[in-house]
Amino acid sequence: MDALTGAYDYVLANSERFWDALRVHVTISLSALLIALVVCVPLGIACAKKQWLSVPVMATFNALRVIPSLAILVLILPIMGTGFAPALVALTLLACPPILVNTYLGFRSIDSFVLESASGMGMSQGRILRRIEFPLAAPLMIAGIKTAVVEVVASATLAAFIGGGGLGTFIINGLSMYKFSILLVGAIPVAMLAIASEIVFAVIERRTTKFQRV
Amino acid sequence: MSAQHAIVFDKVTKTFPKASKPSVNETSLAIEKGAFVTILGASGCGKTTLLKMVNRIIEPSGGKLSVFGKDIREVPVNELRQSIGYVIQQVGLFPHMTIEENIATVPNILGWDRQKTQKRTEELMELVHLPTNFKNRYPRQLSGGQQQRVGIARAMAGDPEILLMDEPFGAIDAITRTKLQDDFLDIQRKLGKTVLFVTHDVDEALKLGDRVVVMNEGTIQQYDTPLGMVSKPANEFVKQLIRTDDLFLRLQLINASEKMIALTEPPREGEPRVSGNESLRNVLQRLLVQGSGRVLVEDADGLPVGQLTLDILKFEG
Ligand SMILES: Nc1ncnc2c1ncn2[C@@H]1O[C@H](COP(=O)(O)OP(=O)(O)OP(=O)(O)O)[C@@H](O)[C@H]1O
Ligand SMILES: [Mg+2]
Repeated sequence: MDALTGAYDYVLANSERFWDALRVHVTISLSALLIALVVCVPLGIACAKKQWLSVPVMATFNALRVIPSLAILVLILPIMGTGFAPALVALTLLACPPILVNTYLGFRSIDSFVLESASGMGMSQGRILRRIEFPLAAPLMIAGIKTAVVEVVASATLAAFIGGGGLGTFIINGLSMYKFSILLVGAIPVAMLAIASEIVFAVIERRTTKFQRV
Repeated sequence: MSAQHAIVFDKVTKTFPKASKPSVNETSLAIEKGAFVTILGASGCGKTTLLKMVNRIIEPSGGKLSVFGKDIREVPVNELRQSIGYVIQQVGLFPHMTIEENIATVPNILGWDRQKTQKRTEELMELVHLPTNFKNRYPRQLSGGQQQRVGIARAMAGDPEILLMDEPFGAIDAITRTKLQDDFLDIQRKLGKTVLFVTHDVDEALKLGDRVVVMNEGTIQQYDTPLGMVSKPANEFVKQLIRTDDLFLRLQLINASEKMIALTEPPREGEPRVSGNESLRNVLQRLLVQGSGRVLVEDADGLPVGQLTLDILKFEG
């Protein structure tokens, strides 16, 4: 309990630093996600449609998935040095596999006869993509994005290790000073962010899977 | 090859890449407007390929295909498809859309206003005998037979002149299939659409089609009415496939009114009666079961206008 009040006092006393760290944390997480989405959703769709592309791409990203997030950060360090940019790259790499793989699986799971009847009725390719393929792939895609979000929000903590800033700074400081209360200043908001994103995505998931649950 | 033809195949060939021989070989076929044509043949003989060339899901490798006198390559492909209903065995309903939304697919592409679309959807559900409270259900809440009814309604939503159907009742149990066949036959008679209907079920082909195409290895063996096919098979293959030596099958295809003769004596109480559009097969059954010398044939008002005896049926066999 002491630690909690200590953490609260610390936030009040250093409110500017706290909000700044939170802002960096959220910015870096969202940026990583956005980049991963922009790259991996089209790539995943392309893989689902072109079998020859899927084999090398899926192998690469599945391999990437096995590497722990801290290891990615450490590997980036000698290549890009420290700061926001290398941390962003590392987090983006982390966000990519679940989004890519689930987009691929989502599009692959669509029944070919559904697509045949869609084009047989004269739907254009764009319309099929928007009205048929995206909604049908959505449940799996959302699940992948959710995994990526939670992973990125949590791992953004580690970005502080390579000078990327964010809430992880408090955790490192707390650890090095043996001050549990300062550690909590970083840990509690990170946990809350992760839980909040879980909840938000659970709601979206429920919506996109409505037709499967009736 | 004029305007009374809905679909004309002119020496149409399809050879798939890397295939050693064509799946459809220089096929010419003219299908009249309003005809119900069934395409019959063993698995792999090219029925589906023939059908899918009409809406360009498969592009012919040679020859020319026209719809209502117009070369199908001159129409934008999506426009062509919107004007042709398409039904497949696997139905292919959109699982994330309600029944209503599924049926409204083509109206939505065509940008109809909501009221018109809704009216059309309700009309179609009634036509295919689906209760209107199914509107807001999802496909997986329906049985296979009901799903195919939705499939048919969806295909007809844009009021196409032509319907292409690839074994639409192939995956449905026998009892439900008979019901679907009867209902669909009614619909076709009511609306006079031109239907091209693939099946590998001989009985289905003869029952539904007013013309039957028999295919083998990519070529048409015979194009004829069901009765013509049964009584004058063009070759040994057709003979084998249609089982033309099957007397019952042949009797099934002839109506009582076509063969009846004038009454030789006035009708008596208790004599078996059939209506004019019943098949000779039913007549035979009555003759055998009721052990009567003749069966009376009634007109639409229920008045006996002719008779049939075993001798007449024998002559048919
Ligand atoms: N996309 C394709 N690529 C290569 N060959 C094909 C393709 N589609 C069909 N074929 C071949 O063309 C031939 C005719 O096939 P088609 O699907 O038209 O037969 P079908 O009469 O509809 O058979 P079924 O009753 O089994 O549906 C077959 O030998 C088949 O292997
Ligand atoms: Mg087929």
